[in-house]
Amino acid sequence: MDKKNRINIPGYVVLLFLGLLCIVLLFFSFATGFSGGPVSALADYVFTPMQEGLSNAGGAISHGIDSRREKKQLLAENKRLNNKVNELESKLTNTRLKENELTRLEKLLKLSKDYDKYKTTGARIIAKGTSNWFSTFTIDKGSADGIKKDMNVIADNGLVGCVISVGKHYANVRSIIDDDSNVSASVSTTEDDMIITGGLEQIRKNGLISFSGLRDTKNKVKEGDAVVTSNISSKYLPGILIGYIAKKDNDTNALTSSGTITPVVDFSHLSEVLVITELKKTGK
Amino acid sequence: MKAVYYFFRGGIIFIALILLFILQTAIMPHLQLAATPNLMLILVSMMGFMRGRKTGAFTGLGAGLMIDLFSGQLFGTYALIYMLLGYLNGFFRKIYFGDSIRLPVILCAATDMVYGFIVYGVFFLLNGKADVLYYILNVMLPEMIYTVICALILYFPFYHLNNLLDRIHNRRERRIV
Repeated sequence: MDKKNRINIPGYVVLLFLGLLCIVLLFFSFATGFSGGPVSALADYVFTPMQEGLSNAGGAISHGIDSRREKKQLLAENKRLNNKVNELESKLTNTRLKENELTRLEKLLKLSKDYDKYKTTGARIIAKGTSNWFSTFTIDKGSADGIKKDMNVIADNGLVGCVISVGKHYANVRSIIDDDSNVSASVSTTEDDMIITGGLEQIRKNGLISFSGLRDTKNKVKEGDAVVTSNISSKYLPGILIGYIAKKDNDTNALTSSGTITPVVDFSHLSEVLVITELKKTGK
Repeated sequence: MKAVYYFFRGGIIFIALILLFILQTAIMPHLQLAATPNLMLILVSMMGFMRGRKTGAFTGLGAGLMIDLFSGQLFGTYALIYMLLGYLNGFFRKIYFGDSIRLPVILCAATDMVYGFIVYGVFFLLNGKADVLYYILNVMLPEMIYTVICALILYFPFYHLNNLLDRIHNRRERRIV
């Protein structure tokens, strides 16, 4: 081996150089909101097409395993649910009559709001985030399909999360159970505002997400009340259902209360979601 | 001429990283047992102690950048973490001889545990989530155990990958002489 011919850069120089590069990237991304830029082309042409195919295959495998296990369970559940359907149907007719009356009265007052008329586009989840710590996932639609950053994502009629970064043919979504997610929400009955924070610990222990800062001095909010996204949120469109209050405790300051919410979305079994193709107008 | 071989070796590691990334994000969520294994960290760790600090650091940087692209954290966070872990693994090259599987298993487990503590410290402890024991028992340990199992399976493919890289390296040496 001819040692003179080798350019030998010491290891610590490489470490320093790469470390500096990373730190520069961090500052750059902090200052400009850069999240990939030209590198995301790699994701567009290499990752997403392969992920799409493989995710299908993986889904088929786990579906096969699950289906055998769940058959018995489903039969029992089916019986129980059939009874419930009958019970609920009678209730529904009752509600429908009331709803008709309501729309008639609303028309008179010209009050009806268009909450349920958001335009949506369907998307499939093709990959989960790489770590066990965060709940982000990737969907198969991107800027080419009109998806933009901060668009809301829903499924099962409930809020799933919002888009955090967009590539040409993919988008990353952070779900509301993620530790980094904060949603401004309000109770549908009293319209009191609160902040909903996701958390790995809470969702794994009992499948709940926590809320805080609810100003409810008259104690009108009850367990089981529906919680929707609020009007004052900067990212989330108003009136999307998040979940129902599971537990409410008064804080020690005697002004606000906090507690937990049962989300309507089953986050562990998501495969398709709807993206609302409208951005919240914030007057910027 | 030399640069060509560097690119060639880099390219092989890069392709391995891409395959592992896709395996980890698209297949592993369906085979989840309490946690998903950290396959990319296995490659970073193994490249570290098989090929030294520099290769470890570069592999880590590549893996981290791919993860950053999809993580939604500040761009560069994971690149820094993985790069440091790859570099640190490089120090164990002196005691790695390839004849025993004990060292790779211990190193992969330790690397994954350290990774867990770094992620916990950076993203959770600083957010006021101080219940360390819960996170160790429910996130770090399951991930570590699953990662070690995957490391056992992946060790031999990576061992041969390392031999392949060695052969490319030797050919370069011969041409120069």
